[in-house]
Amino acid sequence: MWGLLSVWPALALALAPKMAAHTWTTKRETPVILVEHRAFPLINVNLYFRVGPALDPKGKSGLTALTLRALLRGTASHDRAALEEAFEALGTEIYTTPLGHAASIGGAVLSRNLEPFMALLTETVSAPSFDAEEIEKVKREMIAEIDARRDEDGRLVGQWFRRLVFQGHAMSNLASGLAGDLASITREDVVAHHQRYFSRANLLVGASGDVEPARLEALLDAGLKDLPEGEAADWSMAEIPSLPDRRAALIDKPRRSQAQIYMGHPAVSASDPDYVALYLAVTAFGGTFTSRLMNEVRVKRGWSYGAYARLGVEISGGYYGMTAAPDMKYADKTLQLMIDEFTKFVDEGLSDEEIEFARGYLINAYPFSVETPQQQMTQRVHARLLGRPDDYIDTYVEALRTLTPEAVRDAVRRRLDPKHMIMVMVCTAPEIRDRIAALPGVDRVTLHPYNADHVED
Amino acid sequence: MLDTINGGADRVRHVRTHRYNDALAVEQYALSNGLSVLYLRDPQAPVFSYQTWFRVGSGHERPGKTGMAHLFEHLMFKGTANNPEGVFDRTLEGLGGRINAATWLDWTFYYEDVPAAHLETVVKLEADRLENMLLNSEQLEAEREVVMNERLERTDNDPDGKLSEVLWQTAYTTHPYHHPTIGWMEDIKAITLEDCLSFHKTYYAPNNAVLVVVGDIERDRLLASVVEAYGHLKAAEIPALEAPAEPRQIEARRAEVSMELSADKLVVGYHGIAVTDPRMPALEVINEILGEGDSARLQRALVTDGEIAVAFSTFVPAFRDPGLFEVGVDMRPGQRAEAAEAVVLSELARIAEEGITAAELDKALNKLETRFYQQLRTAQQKANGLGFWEATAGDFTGLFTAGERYREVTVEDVKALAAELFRPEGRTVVIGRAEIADEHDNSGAEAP
Repeated sequence: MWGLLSVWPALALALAPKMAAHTWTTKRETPVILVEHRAFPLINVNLYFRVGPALDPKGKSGLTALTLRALLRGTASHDRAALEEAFEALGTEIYTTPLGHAASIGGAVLSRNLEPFMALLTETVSAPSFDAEEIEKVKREMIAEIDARRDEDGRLVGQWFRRLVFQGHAMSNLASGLAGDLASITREDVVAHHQRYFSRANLLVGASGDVEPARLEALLDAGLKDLPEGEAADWSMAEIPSLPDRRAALIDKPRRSQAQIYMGHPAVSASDPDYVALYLAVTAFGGTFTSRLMNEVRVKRGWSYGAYARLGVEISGGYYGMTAAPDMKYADKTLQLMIDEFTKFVDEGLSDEEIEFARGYLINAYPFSVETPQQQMTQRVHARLLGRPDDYIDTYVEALRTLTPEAVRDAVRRRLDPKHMIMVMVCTAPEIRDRIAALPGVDRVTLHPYNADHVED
Repeated sequence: MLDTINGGADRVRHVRTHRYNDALAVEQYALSNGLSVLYLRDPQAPVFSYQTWFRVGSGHERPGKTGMAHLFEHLMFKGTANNPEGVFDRTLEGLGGRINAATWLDWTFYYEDVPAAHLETVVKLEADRLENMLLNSEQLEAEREVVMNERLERTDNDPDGKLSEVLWQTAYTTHPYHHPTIGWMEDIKAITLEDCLSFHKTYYAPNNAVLVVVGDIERDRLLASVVEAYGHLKAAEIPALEAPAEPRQIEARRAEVSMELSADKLVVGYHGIAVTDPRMPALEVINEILGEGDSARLQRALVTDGEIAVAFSTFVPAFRDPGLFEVGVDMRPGQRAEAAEAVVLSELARIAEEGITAAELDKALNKLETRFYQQLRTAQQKANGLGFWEATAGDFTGLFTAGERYREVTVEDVKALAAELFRPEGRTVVIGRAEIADEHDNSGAEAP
C-alpha cells in the first residue's frame, strides 16, 4: 500500500507504519475511512461535513460555525446539560471544528464506551433540537469571542491576512463570522443550513484506533438513519484575482512594542498539480529552522524569534505566506528584507542543493505525519475533502522523489509573484507609517483600525 | 535481562525495568559517570524520540541572573569544535528530524525526533554538544536579540503571558518561582559570556542529565552508541539547589495591570502541592470537575449559563516544589473581572465546603483515563512523560502509575484537599484591566 523508493529502498520499506487502513461505503451509503490499531483501548471518531465559511450565505458569515456549535446544545431527547453530562460520563469530550473546507464533530472514547458514545454522537447530528434560546446564547458567545481574539496579535494578523489576501472573494470569510452578520442569523437559517449541508450528501466519517470495520459500520448505520439527505455542497468558486500591487496594510493597534507581519498573495489550491512542487520549494525557502528565510532574519540578524514561509492548504484558491514578529524598531527593515528575500527566491531560483535538502527533509520526515492511527486517518480524510486523490498520502513520497529541480523552479516562477502581494502588519501605525511608506519594496500603504469589521481598500 | 553490556559493569548498569503492559516496558540504565538512560522499545512507527533532560531550570537562577537557563538553551544550538554553527540543525533536518528544546522552572530538555535509521548520528551530535560546546560574544549577542524578541512576543505583547508573569511574581516572595523562566528584560541584557560558560560547566554534566529514547530502536544498539559517545565524560559536582521554601501566604494579594484589551482578564492563583505529593491525583480530579469539558462547573457558571466570560482555563502545577493552581478568565466586553472573581471564588468554596458527588468523581476518572491514553500516542509524547517524571520527581514510573493513583481518590480526599488549598488568605488575584486607547489616527487614510 505504500510507495516504494528506488533511491532509499531501505527507508521506503521502513516508512510503512504497521496499521490497517480501511476505506469503504456502508450499506446505508456512508463513506468511512478507518485506520485500525489496537495498541490502546481508545477510539477516535469524527463526522466531517463538506461545508465551510466560504459557503456561508452573504450577510450570514459565521453560519456554518454557529450551526456546528449549536449541534451540542441539545437534541430531541437530551437538553444541553443532559447531553454534556452523557458524553462526559463516558470519559469523552466532544469537539466541534469549523475548518475552511469541512465542519467536524467528534472526539476520543474508551473502547468499552463506543456503543453509547456513537448513539449520542449520531443523535447530535441527526436530531438536534436547535432550541431558540440556546441559539441566541451561541450567537452571543461567538460575538464576544470575536472581540477577544483581537487581543492576540498573532491571531489578529492571521485573520487580517485572510481578509485582505482574498478580499472580495468568499474565501476571505472568517469561520468566526462578523458580529453584525451573526446577530442577524435566525433559528430558521440554522435549521436550513443543517438540513442542506449537515447531511448525508456531505458526510465523511473518519475513525481510528481500537475498532474493527463491522462494529463501526453497525453503529453508524443505526445511528445515522435519520440524518437529512441534504444537497451536495458546491465548491466550484470564482477564480481569485491576483493582487494589483505591493501594498502594506498597517493594522493599527496602540502600544505595540513588537510588530506582527503576515505577507503573501493568492496561490494554488491543495489539489492543484503544482502544489507538491511549490510545497517543496516553500519548505526550502522558509519551511524549516535552517531554511534561507530563517537564516537571514533570525540567525544572521536576530530580528525575529521566528521567520517562516508557508503554502496554505485550501480547497479553493490557496495562498503563499511569510510571517515574522520583529521588534517595532526593526519592523521596516525586516519587511524590506523579507520582500528582498522573496524576490530573490523567485527571480534567481533555489539552488539544486537547497532543493535536494528540502526533498530529503520532507521524505525523511514523512513518517512523523503518519505516526499514529489518528494522524493517518486525518491525512486520508483531508485528502478526500480537499479534492486530492484518495492515494495522496501513499504516493506523496514518490511525487516528491520524482520532481526535478527545474520543475520546482518552474513552478515557483509561474505561481509565485513578489510584485503583487499584500503585506499585513499589526503595529502601532503612527510610529512606523512613514518608514514603511519609504521602503522601496512598498507601492502604497493603507491603514486599518485593528477592530474594524469592514475593510476599506 | 542484561546487567551490563559493552565494557562491563563499570560502563553501563541495568537499574530496573518497569512493565506497564506487554507493549510498554521501560528499562532504566546508568553509566558509571551518572548518566541515566531510559529506554522504551516502541515499534509503532519507524521513528524514535531522543530526549536529553537536564535537572536545571529557571528555579535554579539567582536574582540578577534570571533568564540564564533559557538563554543557554538557545546557545546550545550554536557550535562545537567538531560541528561548527549550523551543522547540528542542518544535519538533523536533512534526516527529516524535528528538533527543539524547552526550559521551565525545574528542567531544560532537548529533543530530536528522527527516523530510526539515524540513531548513531543523533547520539554523536548530542554528546558532542554536551562535551565540546563553543561560544563567542558574537553568537551570544545574536541570540540575546532573539530571546529579547521572544520575550516581547510571549510576554510583553501577550496579555496572557504578562498576567501569568505578574501572578507568579506576586504570589512568590521568596522562592525562585517568583521570576519568569524567560527572565526579566534587564537581566537578559546583562548576561555575560562568562555567565554562560560557567552555567554550562556547572549544570551540563552527565550526572545531571537523563537520556530518554523511545521508538523503533534495538536496546543493544542504543546502549552501545551511548556508551561510546558519553562513557568517557566526567561527572561534575552539581551544586545543591538553593531554593528557599515559600513562606505560607497569610493574606490575600492583588495586582492590576492596565492593558490594551477588548475586555478585562482575570487570573487567580492558589499555592498548590508538589508533583510528588500523593494528593496530586485528587488535585487533578478537582481540575476536571472545575475546568475540563462542557459540563465543568466553571464552564457553566462563567461561560455557557453565566454568560460573563468568553473563555476560561485552569492549570494544575506539576513542579518539583509547590506551584500555583490557576484559574484564568477572559471576560466578555463590558463585564468586569470582579464578576468572574466572585464566581470563581464561590465555586472553589463550594468544592471545599460541600465536596463533589460520586457521579462527578466517576466522570472525572473516566476522562482522566481517556487523557492518559491520549498522552501516549506518539514516541515523543511517551518520551516527554518519562523524561518529565524522571527529571522532576526522580521516578519515571509516575507516568504509568497515575491510573492506579486516580482510582484511589475518594470524594473525601477531594473535599479535604480543596479546603486546604483554597484558603482565602492563600489567594493571589491579578486583573488585566481593559483600557482601549483612542489617541491614534484610525482614519484608514492612505499614506502619501
